[in-house]
Amino acid sequence: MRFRALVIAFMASFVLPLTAHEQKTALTDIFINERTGNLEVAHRFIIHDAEHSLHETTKLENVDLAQSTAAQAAFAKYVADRFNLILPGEKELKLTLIGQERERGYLWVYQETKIPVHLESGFTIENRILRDVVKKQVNTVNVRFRSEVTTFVFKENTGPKRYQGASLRMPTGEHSTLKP
Amino acid sequence: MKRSLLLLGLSVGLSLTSASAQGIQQTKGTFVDKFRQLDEVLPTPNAYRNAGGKPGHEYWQQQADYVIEARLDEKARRLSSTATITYKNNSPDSLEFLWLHLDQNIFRQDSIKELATDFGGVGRRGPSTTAPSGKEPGKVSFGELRRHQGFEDRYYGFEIGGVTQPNGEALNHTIVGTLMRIDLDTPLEPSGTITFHVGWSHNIVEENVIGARSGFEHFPKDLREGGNDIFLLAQWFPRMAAYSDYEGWHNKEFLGRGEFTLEFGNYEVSITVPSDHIVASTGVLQNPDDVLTEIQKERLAEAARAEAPMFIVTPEEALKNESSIVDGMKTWRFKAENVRDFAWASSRKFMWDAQGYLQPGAEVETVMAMSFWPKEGGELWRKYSTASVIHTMEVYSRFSFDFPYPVIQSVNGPVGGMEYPMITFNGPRTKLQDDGDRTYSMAEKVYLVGVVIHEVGHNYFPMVVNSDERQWTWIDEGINSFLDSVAGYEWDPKMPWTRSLPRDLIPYMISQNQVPIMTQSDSILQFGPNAYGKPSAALHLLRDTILGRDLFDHALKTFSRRWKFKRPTPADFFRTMEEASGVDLDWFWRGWFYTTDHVDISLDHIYRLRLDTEDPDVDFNRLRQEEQDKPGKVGVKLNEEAGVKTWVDRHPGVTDFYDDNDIYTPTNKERNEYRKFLDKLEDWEREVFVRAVKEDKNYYVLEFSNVGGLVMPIILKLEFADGRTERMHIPAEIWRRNPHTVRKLLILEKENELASVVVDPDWETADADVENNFYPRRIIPSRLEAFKAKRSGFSTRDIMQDIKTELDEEKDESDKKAKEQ
Repeated sequence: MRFRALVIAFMASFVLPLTAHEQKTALTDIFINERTGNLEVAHRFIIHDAEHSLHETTKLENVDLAQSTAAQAAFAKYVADRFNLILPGEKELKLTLIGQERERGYLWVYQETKIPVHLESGFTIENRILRDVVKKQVNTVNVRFRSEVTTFVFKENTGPKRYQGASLRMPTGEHSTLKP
Repeated sequence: MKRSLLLLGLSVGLSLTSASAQGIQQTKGTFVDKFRQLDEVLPTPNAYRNAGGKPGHEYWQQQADYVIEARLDEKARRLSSTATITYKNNSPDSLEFLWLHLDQNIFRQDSIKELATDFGGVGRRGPSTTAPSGKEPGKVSFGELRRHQGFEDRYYGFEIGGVTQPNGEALNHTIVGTLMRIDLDTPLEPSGTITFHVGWSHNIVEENVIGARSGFEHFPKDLREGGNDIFLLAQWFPRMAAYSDYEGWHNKEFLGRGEFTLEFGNYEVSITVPSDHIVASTGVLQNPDDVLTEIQKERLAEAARAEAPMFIVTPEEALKNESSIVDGMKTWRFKAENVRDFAWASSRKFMWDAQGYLQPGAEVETVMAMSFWPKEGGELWRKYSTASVIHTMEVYSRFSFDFPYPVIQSVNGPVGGMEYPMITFNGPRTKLQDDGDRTYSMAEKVYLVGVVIHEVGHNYFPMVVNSDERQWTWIDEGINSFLDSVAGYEWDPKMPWTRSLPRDLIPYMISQNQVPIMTQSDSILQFGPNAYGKPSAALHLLRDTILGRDLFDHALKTFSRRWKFKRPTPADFFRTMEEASGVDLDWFWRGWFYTTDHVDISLDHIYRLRLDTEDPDVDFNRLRQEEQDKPGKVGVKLNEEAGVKTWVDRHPGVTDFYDDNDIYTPTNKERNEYRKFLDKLEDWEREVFVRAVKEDKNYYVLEFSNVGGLVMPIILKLEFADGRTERMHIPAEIWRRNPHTVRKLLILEKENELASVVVDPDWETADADVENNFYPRRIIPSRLEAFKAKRSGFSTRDIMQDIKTELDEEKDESDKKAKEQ
């Protein structure tokens, strides 16, 4: 038997109760925007979930994400710390934190970078947002390139996931490409 | 013709998979029948549930009545109970054994749920862990260790004392995980009744440690020595499993996710707790004289007619109770009729308010809406809990039926949100600040109102309309999420709800790892969007876009009333909605509930056409004009600019017939042909032709393609050259013969000249790609681009903070002038 390290992690003990009401999921949209040449990352959170997590992770006094821009900025920083894209060769694709905004009961956090030169060799996605504080947190990541969508789901123990890269073939099933 | 063959060629694979799943295959051509009727997918109608989605003429369901005595040992956090269960077999079958649910057994360390937990995996309510990977060590949280220690220190699960017949003889019983089978000496025949006794005890789990839908919460900081507890008791007694015409015994192991369905029955429950506790319970209190004070009874009577919630136990009294030390016990007796479960809560921390909700003419004319909460709930609960309970009944009753029970309660405790008949557990709290104030954020307020509406709403679906959540989570969660958003917007549309509207579901619906809504609860991927969000979005769409409110509301009400206190399945829902609305919705159920298609309709082209008059004096002029409207030839233009003199310029005297008559000059030859053409027409044809020519309308052909696969009505905003707009609704049936591309001819009045057209202008169909909704195309900034563009604007102003800014003092005149210069 090989021993592997097991550590007590200071994972906050707070767990958002999961109940008969809808279980919340966070959503990340990675859009390869050929028009601007940027790789855009937009994260969507339910404000109420995010608030509890923010309180647990930062012990901030004012975590009113619906109203406090300081709390929103702190949450955006938390998100940026826990979301990474890594190019082949372990090179991190540095994302610039663009900002955050509230839309109804959602909080959006935006990051951006230039589209990597060798997009076809893909990148690795690491998503550790909220997973240590929200019970059964599910983070869905859609990578959109033209009309292709590739989906990754990050749960409590999901390690990094690899996006195989944008294939430059014409997407199948898209009728408009065959228009005479 | 050729084109459509080419286009359809792409989707051969698709059509085969979807068709073969039903046992029917399209093996010629590439057609996909998105409108194929559902009858071959739905169960065959029978005498128990008919083809219109109604309970059949021989519909039956079982009945289970309970008399229970329960005693709470507060110190040991243990419950000891006995029950007499009377089970009536209304089915046409004879039953050789009975099944009961023992849900507390899910906390046994040998339960399937505990044994089948993937370390660091998902699928369990509980603290987090991380499996070791690569260079990373495994991680276990303090919470997870506490959970394990909790299991080591105490035994959880039912300790069954015995199952006996009324004559005292033991009944053979076998425990199978979270279920118990009782073997009968002689089968229980149709119309037969059996009565038996069960005795049991169980240790109550600490909700925050174990993660459950019930349990106790400890408050160590309360002034009372040893602190205080709130006890929430649910799924706490052996409950008769459902036996139905469509599934037989519903004896599927409880794994923690898919909730449950049970039988309706009558309950008489006596609950013995420390004498300073306040008990909230399913049912109506039978012995107020024994457990309430005179003043509490007076307040209750007054609250029944009050205009606003009234305290039965005031905050001051509750605070005093918190420090109370008593030895005695009191027994609270409750009776509940025709409920499918029974739950209760007990604590000395509770304050309690109540308000009568009046339903004149209803079976139950006064419903007592009540809330129970500790000081930790604070003002948030005082202002909004009972108010939300009443708002829920106002909205939901309009869509279904009058609230059928005399009591409905919202109780604050460790459970985030869970429903039982007449009682709901709701989690939101205030936060104690350093200055002693209790405050809450706007999101916490939205959460409280939202969760109370949702859990009270569950009292209609599935507590009364008794669908089986362990089988089909969406049927009650979907209808309830839809109605809770309707109620939310009727509360205050400006509050930041995150409700499940079609537009919210787009990222889910384009994602790759999803399963159809019609999937058994335990097998669902992306549970929340699948069982709550998507069905809710579908119902919003059905109500506001496809059926319209009159038809939809009538149909949903019909479904609710048909199945009130009965047991519907999805097929009954689909069939009733169609039968009552009179609209064939098979394509809608098929697309939204049986497939994983998403909505993306693209407006690819618009062609403008004009009717030829055949009259050469008109048509030739138009042709001449068309030619003149073309841009001039570049070479000629350059020649002119260079001052090149043409031959004609240099010989002005040489002209002929063709200098006065161009190629578009009509002659009598054409005029005669025109007359001949008119003469040859039948009278009615001529009439039609002459009128059409006279009206000279605008003809447009709009060409759409269905990129997402889900067929939808096409909603258009037509924008005219003069700035006017018009809305147009093309029914989904336009796709019935070709689900890939369709064309629509628009005949518009002469003055209505199209400038642009937008598909789904109000974002009501969950259309995933907005860019291809515009013709002509517009550049649609991505969400991030749009954010960057407006970032410098007003949206990020923190006015709440900025408003405190003091105005700088005016500099003196000389300074100002100096600056200006």
